[in-house]
Amino acid sequence: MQVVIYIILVILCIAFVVPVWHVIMYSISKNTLTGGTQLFLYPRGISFTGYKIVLKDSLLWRSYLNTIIVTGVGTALNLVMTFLAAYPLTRRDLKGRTIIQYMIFITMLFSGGIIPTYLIVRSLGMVDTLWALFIPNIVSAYNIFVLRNFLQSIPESLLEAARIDSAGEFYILMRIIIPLSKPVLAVLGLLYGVGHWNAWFNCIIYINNTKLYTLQALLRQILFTMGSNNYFGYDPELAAASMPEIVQMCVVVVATVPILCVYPFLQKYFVKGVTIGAVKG
Amino acid sequence: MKKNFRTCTLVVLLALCMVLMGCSPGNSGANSSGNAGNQVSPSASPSGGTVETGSNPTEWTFDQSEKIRFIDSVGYTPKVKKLTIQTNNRVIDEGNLVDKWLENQLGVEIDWIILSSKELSTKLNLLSASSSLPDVVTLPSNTNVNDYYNLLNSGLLLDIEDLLNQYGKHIRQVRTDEQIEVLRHTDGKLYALNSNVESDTEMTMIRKDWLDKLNLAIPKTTSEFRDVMYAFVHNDPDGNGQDDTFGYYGYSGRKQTFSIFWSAFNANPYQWVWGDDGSIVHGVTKTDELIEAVSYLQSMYADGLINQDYLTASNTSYQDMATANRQGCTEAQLWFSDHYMQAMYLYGNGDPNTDWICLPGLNGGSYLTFNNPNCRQYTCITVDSKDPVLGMLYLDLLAHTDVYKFIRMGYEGEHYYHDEELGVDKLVDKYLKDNSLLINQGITATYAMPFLATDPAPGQFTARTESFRQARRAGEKAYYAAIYLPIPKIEENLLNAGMSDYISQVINETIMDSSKNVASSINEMVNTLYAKYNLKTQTEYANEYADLLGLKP
Repeated sequence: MQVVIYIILVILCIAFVVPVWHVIMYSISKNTLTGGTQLFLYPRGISFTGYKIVLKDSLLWRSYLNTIIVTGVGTALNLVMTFLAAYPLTRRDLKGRTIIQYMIFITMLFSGGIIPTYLIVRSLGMVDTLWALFIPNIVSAYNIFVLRNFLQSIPESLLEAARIDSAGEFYILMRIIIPLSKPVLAVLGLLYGVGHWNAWFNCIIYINNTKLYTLQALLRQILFTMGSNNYFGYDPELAAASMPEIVQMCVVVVATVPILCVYPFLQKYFVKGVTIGAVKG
Repeated sequence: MKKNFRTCTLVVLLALCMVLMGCSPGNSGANSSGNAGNQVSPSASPSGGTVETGSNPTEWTFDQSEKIRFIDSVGYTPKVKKLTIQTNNRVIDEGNLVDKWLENQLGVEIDWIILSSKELSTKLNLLSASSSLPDVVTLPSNTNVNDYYNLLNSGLLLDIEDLLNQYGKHIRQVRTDEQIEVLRHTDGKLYALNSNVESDTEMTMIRKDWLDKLNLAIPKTTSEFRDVMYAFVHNDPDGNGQDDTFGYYGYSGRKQTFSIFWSAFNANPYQWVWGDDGSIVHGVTKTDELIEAVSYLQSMYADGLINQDYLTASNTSYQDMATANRQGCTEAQLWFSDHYMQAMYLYGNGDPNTDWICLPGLNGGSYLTFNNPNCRQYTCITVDSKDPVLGMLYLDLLAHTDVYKFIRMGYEGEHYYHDEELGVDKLVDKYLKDNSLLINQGITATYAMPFLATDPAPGQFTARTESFRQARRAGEKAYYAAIYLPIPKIEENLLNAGMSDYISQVINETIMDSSKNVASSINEMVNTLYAKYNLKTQTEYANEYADLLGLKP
C-alpha cells in the first residue's frame, strides 16, 4: 500500500515539477535552438538574452514595486480588518452577534456583482489608484469565520484570570489574544498575501494607467501580446533573439520565483491552515 | 428569543432586498446604460448642431519644430481636458515621446485604457454601465466582433459620418469610399471606421534573384510553379554547392498557408462562399475543386517541394529561413518585407542582393488573401464621449502618413536617419536601447493600432520591393470569393464548432500522406461534417445571418 502511495506521489510530483522545470530551462536556452513543441528537460545552449530584455524594462520593475506595495499594505489591512471583525464576534456580550454573523455569512453566498462593485469603487474615486486593489476585498468572510473559530478556542478562563489580575480589555487583546493568535494570523496573512501577489483581475478592471499595473497584470498583457511578430519589430535584441516564447518564459519565471522562495518558509503554516479553526473550541 | 431572532432576520432580509433593488439596472431609470445608449444625447451627436466647425482650417503638415499644432490648424477648441482612448494588447509607458507629442498636438491629456481582447468585453461592460466609455474604442474584428455589435445594438456608438466628413480629411485621403462603406450598418449609419484592411493581407513571396539566376520566369500556373520549386530545391539557387534550399516554405500549419493554391484551384476549404443558387454554402462542399487542390499539394509535398515540417515549423522560422537565405518561396504576412529587411540591415543577416517579390496569382487566381476581408478592427467613437469631434480629430491625426511614420520612427536625425546607400530609413541604435522592448514596442503598436495610414512606415524597409508596395495598394483585388460573416461570438462558435480544425486536420493528413486517396478523404470529410458537425444546420445559420446583416445581393 505504502509503495502505491509513493508511486502516486512521485507521479504527482513529476506532474507538478516538470512544467515549472520546462519553463526555467526554456527561458535560459539559446533562441536558435528553441521553438517547436519539444520538452526542455535541460537548457539547449545557454543564453540569458530573454532575462536581459525583461529585467531592463522599467515597466516590469514598476509593476514589481506596485505588487509589493499591494501585497504588503493589502495583507496588513486584511489582517487588521479581519481581526477587527472576528474578535467581537467571539464576545458573548456583543448584542446582535448572531445577526451580524448571518449578515457576514450571506456575503459568502451572494455577492453584489461586478458591475455594482465597480460603480461603488468608481464613485469612491478609487479607479486608477492602488486603493482599488485592496479596499474592495479588504476582508474575506470565510477568513473571518476561520479566525473567529480560532479565537473562540482560547479558554475563557484565561481571559478571566487576566481580568482578575486587573487587566483591561485592550491589554487583554494586545497581550493575550493577539500573541496567542499568531499561528492563525500567519496562515491568514499567507493566504491573503498569496492572493494579492497572484491577483490580476482587479488590476485589469480598476487600473488604466500602466504605471500602476501589478506584476501579474503586466505578465498577462505580455503573454497575450508576445505572440505577435509586430511586437518585436524594432527591438534589435529581441529581433536577434527572434523568439518571443523565451521572453514569455522569462517573464513567468521572474513573476513566480519570489513567491516560490517564500513558500518553503511558510509551508508549516499552510499545513496548520488546513486544520486551524476547523473545530469549534 | 426565537421570535426576536425571526423579526430581526426579516428586517435584515428586507433591508437586503432594498439594497439589491437599488443596485438593479431597472431602478436607475434614464441613467442606465441601456437607455442612455438608445438615446444619443443631442449634445453628443455630431448632427446635433453643437459641433464647432473649423471653417477654413489651415493646411497641417507634420513639422518637427511643431510651430503649428494640429488642433490649431483645424481651428477647433477642445471642450474637454482629457481624451480617453481604449486600445488593444499593447503595454505602453504613458508619458513617452509619442504620448507627449499627441497630447501637445491635440491640446488635451490622453488617458489610455489598454486591454487585451480577453478582458475587453468585461471592461467595456463595466465602463458602459457606469456611462464612462472611452471617447474612442478599438475592437479587433477577429476576437471582439461581438463587443462591437453589443455596443452598437445598445446604442452606445455614435454615427460618425458627419464627423468624418467634417474632420476626417486625412482619413478620407487614405480610405476609399468602398473601404468606408463596407462598415455601413443596415440602418444606413456609419458607426465605425475600418482599420487598414490591407494590414491583414497575406501573400506569397518568391525570390526574384533566384528566378533570374536559374533563368526562370515568374510562374503563372500551378504547373509552372511546380517546375520552379523543383529548380529551387535541386538546382542550387544560392550557389553554395550544397543541397540546402527549400522550395515553398509554410509554417504552423496555418489555414492561410496554402491560400494561393486554394485560390488557384478555386477551392475554399475554410470559408463560406456563394453557392450557385445565390445562397451561402460552405466552400468545402465544392469538392471537385478541393480534391484537385489537395492532390496538387499532396504531390508537391511528396516530392519535397514543400517543407516537410510546415505543420510544426514555428511562426518565426519562416523569417529565420528567409534571412538564412534558404527558402525560395513562402507565405508571408504583409510585414514580411519589413522583417526581412530589418533583419538584414540592422543585424547583418541575410543577403543584401536578395530580391523578394510578391507572386502573382496562379492559374489566374488571386495572390492576396484576407483573414477578415471586411474589417480587421472597428474604430468607433462612443456616446459617452464629451467631445466626439476631438475623438475624430485624434483619429484623423493618426491617419496622416507622416504622423504614422513619426510614431514608428521618431524624429529624423534624433531617432532615425536615412541611409543613402541602401535607400532606407534606419533607427538609431541608441533610441532602441534607450527604449526598452516593452515600452518601445508598445509605443509603435499601440498608437498604430487604428491602422488608419495606408502605408505603415513609409519608405522604411519596403522601398526596394515595388511589387510589395503594389500589393499593399491592391487590397481591393484580393481573394474576395470568401464571405466574411461578422457574426456575434456565440453564433460564430456554433457555426465553426471545431469544423475548421477538423477540416484542417484532414487536409493536412492527406497532404502529408501520399498513400491516402484524396477523393476518398475529402468525400469522407464532407460526410463527417454533415454527420458530426451539423454542417446543414450551420449553413442555415450562415444564411440567416447573411440575411440579417444584409450581405446577400
